[in-house]
Amino acid sequence: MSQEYRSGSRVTRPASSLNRVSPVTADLAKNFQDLAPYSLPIRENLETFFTQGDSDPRSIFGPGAANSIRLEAALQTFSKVLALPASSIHFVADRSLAFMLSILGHAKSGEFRTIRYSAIDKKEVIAATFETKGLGVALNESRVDLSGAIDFKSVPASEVAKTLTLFQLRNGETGIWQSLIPDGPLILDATSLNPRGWGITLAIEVISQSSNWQSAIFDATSWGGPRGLYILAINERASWRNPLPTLDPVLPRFGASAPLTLMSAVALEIESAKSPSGIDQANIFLREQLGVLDEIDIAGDATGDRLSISILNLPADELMRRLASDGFIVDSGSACTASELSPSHVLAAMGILTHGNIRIRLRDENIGSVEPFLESLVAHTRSLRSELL
Amino acid sequence: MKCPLPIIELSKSMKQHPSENSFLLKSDDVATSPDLNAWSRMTGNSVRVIDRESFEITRGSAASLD
Repeated sequence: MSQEYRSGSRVTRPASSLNRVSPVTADLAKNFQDLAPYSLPIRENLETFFTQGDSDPRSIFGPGAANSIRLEAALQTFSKVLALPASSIHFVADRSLAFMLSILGHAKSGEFRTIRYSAIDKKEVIAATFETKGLGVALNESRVDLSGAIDFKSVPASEVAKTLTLFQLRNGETGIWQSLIPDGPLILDATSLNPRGWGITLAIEVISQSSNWQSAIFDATSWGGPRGLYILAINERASWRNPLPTLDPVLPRFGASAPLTLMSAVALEIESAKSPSGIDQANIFLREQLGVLDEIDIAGDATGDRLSISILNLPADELMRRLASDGFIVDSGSACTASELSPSHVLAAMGILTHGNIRIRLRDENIGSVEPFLESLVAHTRSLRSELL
Repeated sequence: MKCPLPIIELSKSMKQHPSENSFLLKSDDVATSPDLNAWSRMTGNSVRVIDRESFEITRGSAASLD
């Protein structure tokens, strides 16, 4: 919206902080970060999402009623693609809140004596788990091996039904997914799954074949949707009590925005229609070609759209700077990167080198740049090492 | 000295003193301990923890911190 204000005889434009923000110039072809700008189909429809999707869906007439129909269609999309009963789905605006609602809600039911979690769970998951100690629940941390497999501690048969396990189906940093489903009641951390096949089939298997799942949390960014939309599915047969104070028996939307819900459903539809093959091949190609560098750790084996590479004797911040000078943008789990003060607890728990780490996410938009990216990565690694050692 | 400099300085020192078999690394960086474990696995050198901030490195005969 451009609005002009008259000040005396002069026409001035309002000073807006947005005017000082650079336009979106990020080159998606060279962007390997986890949270890249939206893909083109989403960007082209942003105005539609925010104009049509913001009408009050509780209205029974006009644009609100139409929006209610759109939100119902979005709910059916999530239900169909994620194999979840529509009645189990709740939208939440914040990831920490989604995990807190799930973990504390089950703990508050009084059904569980112990919660098992793993050393590679997200920090907010571990934090929410620690909160259950106040409800008299015992905690049990499981270790992880070099391949990323979680070694869930065994539970006596008499305790299985009373032990709730936080099961991270796929790790967001490394792309490694678990193949062994633990016994007993489960909370599924499905926040890094993708409908093209990277782990989603395992989630569907757990949900459709097991009555043990208690709740599951999905993140729209894992299929190219926006930040700020999480799906909390609560099994209707599970014992769960809303841990937030409320007078209303109907669960609220937990701050979830209607436009973001619509965007997420469209992104999920687009992503689920695509094939994983090109991205899987790019992942394999990078793994093979990185063999020219000695003393590197690559987490896991077949990790789909994610790759975590740790390079010995290399500061990740300087490597990222040099890659950026060639136009390539990546993430890092190293402590020396600008946004992190401690090393990745995931890499440390696995026994993988935490310094010299870069993380990349492969997308349709960037797999065409994998070869020049590889050339840049190898060249800068060699030159940096020769400068430092 | 912060990550990854303790490991880089250790690698440099081992390269500069090829006849030395044993090295002492002192570091108060939290990443040093997990990284030494990975470094030992990758390079085949062994690490012994003396205390939270001191590590004895021996060339070859890899052994992890555990």
